[in-house]
Amino acid sequence: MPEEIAEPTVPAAMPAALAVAELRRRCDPDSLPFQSLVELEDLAVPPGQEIAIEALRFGVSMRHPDYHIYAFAPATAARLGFVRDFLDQCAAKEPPPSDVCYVNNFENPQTPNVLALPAGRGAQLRDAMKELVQELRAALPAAFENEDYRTKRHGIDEKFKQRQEEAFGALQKRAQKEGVAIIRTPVGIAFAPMRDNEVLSPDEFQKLPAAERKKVTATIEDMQEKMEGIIRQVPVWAREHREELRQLNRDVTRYAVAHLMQEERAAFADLPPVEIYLAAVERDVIENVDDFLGESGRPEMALGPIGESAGPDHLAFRRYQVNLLVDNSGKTGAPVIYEDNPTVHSLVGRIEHIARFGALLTDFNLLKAGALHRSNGGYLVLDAMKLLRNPLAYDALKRALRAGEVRIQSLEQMLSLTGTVSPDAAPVPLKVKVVLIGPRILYYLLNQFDSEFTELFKVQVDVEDQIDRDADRVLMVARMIATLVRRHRLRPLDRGGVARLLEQLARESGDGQKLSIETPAVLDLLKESDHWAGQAGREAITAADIQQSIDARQRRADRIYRRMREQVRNGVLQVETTGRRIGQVNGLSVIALGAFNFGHPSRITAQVRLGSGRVIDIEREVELGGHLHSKGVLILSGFLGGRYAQDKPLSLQASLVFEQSYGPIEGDSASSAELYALLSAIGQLPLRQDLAVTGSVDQHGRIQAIGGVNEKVEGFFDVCAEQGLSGRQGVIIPATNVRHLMLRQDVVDAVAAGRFAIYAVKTVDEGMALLTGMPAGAADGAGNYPAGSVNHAVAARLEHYASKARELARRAEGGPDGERK
Amino acid sequence: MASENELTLRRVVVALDVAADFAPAIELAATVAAGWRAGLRGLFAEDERLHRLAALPFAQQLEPATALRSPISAEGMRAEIDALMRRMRQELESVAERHGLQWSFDAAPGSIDRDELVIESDELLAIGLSTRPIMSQMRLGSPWQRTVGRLRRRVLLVRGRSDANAALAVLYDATPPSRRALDAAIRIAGACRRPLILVTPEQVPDAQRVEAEAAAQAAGVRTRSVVARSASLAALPSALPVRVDLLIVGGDGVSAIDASERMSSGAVLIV
Repeated sequence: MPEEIAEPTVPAAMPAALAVAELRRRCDPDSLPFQSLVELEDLAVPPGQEIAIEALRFGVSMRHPDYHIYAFAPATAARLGFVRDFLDQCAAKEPPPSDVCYVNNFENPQTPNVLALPAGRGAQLRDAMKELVQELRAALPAAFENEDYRTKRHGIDEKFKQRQEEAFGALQKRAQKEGVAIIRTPVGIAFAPMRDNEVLSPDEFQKLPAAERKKVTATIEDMQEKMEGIIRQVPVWAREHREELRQLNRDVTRYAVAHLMQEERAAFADLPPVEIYLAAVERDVIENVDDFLGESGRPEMALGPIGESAGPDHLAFRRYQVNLLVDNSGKTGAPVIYEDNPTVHSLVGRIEHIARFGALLTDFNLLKAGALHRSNGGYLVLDAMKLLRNPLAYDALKRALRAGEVRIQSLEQMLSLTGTVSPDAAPVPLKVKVVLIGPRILYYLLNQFDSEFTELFKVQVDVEDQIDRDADRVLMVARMIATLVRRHRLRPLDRGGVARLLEQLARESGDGQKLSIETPAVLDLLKESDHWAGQAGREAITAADIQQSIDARQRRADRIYRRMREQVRNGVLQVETTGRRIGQVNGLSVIALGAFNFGHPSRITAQVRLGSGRVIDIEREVELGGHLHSKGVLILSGFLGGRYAQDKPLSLQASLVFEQSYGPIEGDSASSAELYALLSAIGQLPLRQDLAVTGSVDQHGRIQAIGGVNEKVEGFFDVCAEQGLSGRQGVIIPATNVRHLMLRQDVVDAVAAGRFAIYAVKTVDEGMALLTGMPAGAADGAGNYPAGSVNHAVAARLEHYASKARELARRAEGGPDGERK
Repeated sequence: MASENELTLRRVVVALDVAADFAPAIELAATVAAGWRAGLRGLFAEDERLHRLAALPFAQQLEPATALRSPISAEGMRAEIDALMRRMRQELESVAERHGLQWSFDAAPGSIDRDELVIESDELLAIGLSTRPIMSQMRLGSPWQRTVGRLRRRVLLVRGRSDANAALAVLYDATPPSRRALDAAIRIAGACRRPLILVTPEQVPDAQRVEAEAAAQAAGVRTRSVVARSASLAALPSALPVRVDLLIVGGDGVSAIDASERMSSGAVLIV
């Protein structure tokens, strides 16, 4: 652009006010190509989302694991319905994924095994195991009640008893024969010499001949050794006895179990992992048959980590249960899961605990699925903001996606902290397409600061929030409205209602040539209009109902706006809407309060004096001006230097301020107003106060588009209306903003009545001509401006400053006309 | 004055010694005493042989728990006997308090002559026939065996462990001693809230059986009737349909002892 400096400076004509038709692009109900919304078919996909759908289709069909999707959404993920609708359609064509079960690992109960079974087979296995345990509990005790078994067991018991009795009996007999008593002491047994059925006293013993004493002692010593041998042998016999009993129990159990499990084995013969599991179950039942016999058993070993005693529900049998983590029986397509609360545990699952006797216990049956399990083989939709707000959730998601598996862990395990003993469950292989829905800014931030995000979320779905306002698209939006009305059972809209709604969508898009297609906002407006139509007893929503919704919504939100207008009315906030002032202009700003934005005029004033060419932005000096605002002010210096000080120093110092502004100011939309105030102050040119100004300016004096033009015009209009519309009041806007005008009807009506005006300008000169009522003035070949023009006055004042500055410089340097100081 | 058909009971005396498997005997004695709110007395009889043994220069004892031998001294033996007595006393105290009974504990070091032991007419002697096992199935015989043989009634013979949920059984043949047994059984079953199995020989008329059942039911005792083919006590244990913890019989002590020996566990109360 700087290359175009050759552009000749032509005298700026006084711009004419905009025609009424340019202020609001109306939608004529009669122009709509339908009589009633009922005629219109549902719209499966919101209008204008062709590229987004293409991106979605690509993301869904890309089966490589790193092609997850990030969809830009203006609202919350829950409200981005079409993405979910699209995923539902895709998922319906896909087969249902496997069931996922956790089962006990009989080798190591601490690490439960995972079984992936065809959809519906998980529930079948769970029920089969439940039934099997019930049958075992009935059949095994019966098998052990059998008379043959009892006889055999009795024989084994008797053999053990007999071994001991024989050994001890022989010793007792020998003791009797040798005259030795076997006496039970408090902690054991002892041998003592006897005579006449009495134990010898020490005296009696001492009176025995030495040889006999020696013999007695030796006999007792020998018997004690024998007894020791027997005592040492008893545990060996006991072990043999237990082993014999165990073997007998195993044989009886094996026969009963094999018979009972025949059916289960046949039912799952096509699934080798289940066959392996059932074999392990059989082995475990055989080894732990006591649990089924109502005896003490060993439940604390049986349950591994849970370690609870058999309760009324026979908790010992929990190890044979099947924890059906994901049940896809009866499903016809792949799952589409939307997790509204994406915490770490709601994503990767959790380990629940049972409080028992003051301790928290768990086992594999208490492993609970997370959204990743439920969506495995399908799609998981998450709200990106919520995901990031939940500690550890985002990291857990990435970890699972990177690893291609999801592992249920307690928080302690996850953070490597010391915790209670919990199952270390085998991970579940993961094949899922994750769709994050979030704001655009978040996508860019994650892309910039998180390389893992970039690697995992390679597909961006950029959702359009507005479309062109041509005939075809107007019809599409009307179909969208019809779809929403039907889907949400609202009153139908008449053609006037549709037209008014389309106008409002244009207004919300901030461009009269476009339509906002933010479905949630449209739906809200429809719901509210439906309410007002109902209040008015109407069968259909009319333009009046739409207008009432808009007005009522504004009334609910505009308390601050009303207060500010009141303060202007009272003179507390000084805004002049009549007369002329030097160095003062009405600038316009937009204040955003939630969903309600309003425009507000502010006095922008400028002061100039001799100086070194610096324009001081007071807002910036006190750190109330944002970066863009400061940039706009600095551009002014560029403009002044470029236009008026090509061959001389810019010898002024100027200050600019937003009067009675006590908050931060951002944006450069007031830069043209600041320039007008500055030029007015330099050239001592009075500016009309019945005009307000908006627009940014470049260094060449061209006026550039700004945002919020409608709110700004309406803000000044409201102030003028309260102070009395004079017919001279109006707003100067950038010409490039004319297409954005969708002004309120009362503003349009005032313009039509000649009581208000909107002017569009392309250059600073046009703006100054309007504000001063003087021609801007074009430079001649020598760079001089015609007398009586704005630019002449400005250039002359700057020349005056420059010569004054030169004079001061000479004096300071002790030149011919001055003394050196 | 109690009638011949009614057992009066002021106190149950539990005979204890070093060899006694004391916990089951104390528990069952308390169960019986509870039927009459009778007192409980622990009577510990020392074995004089232990002191003689301890005085012998080569005396040693084998401890089954460790299979190790250790020398015995008179002081050591005394301390061990005292420790055992304290355990028995604590057990008696604990069980008596649980049943809400008065209790006392007597120990006569080396002085009780079992052959001379006499109980009062309103007392009952509870004797544990099982001794503490040396190891597994290895036991020495009870030194109270001879006392048991001498007593014909008012004796509770305990063998093995007691089961708080097991049933009680009474043999009722409509004779006066069996009426006494029935009365005692109803009292005990009522106090410990256990079911009562009423065993009647075939020859007992139905009317009398029904009368006996009614008496039990009137006292709030759940009753089950069993008809035994024989009136022989010796054949009785195998005729019982469920596990019985305590069999109550009237009169003939010798037969009752014989019956108790046939019961692998449980006890016989002869009234």
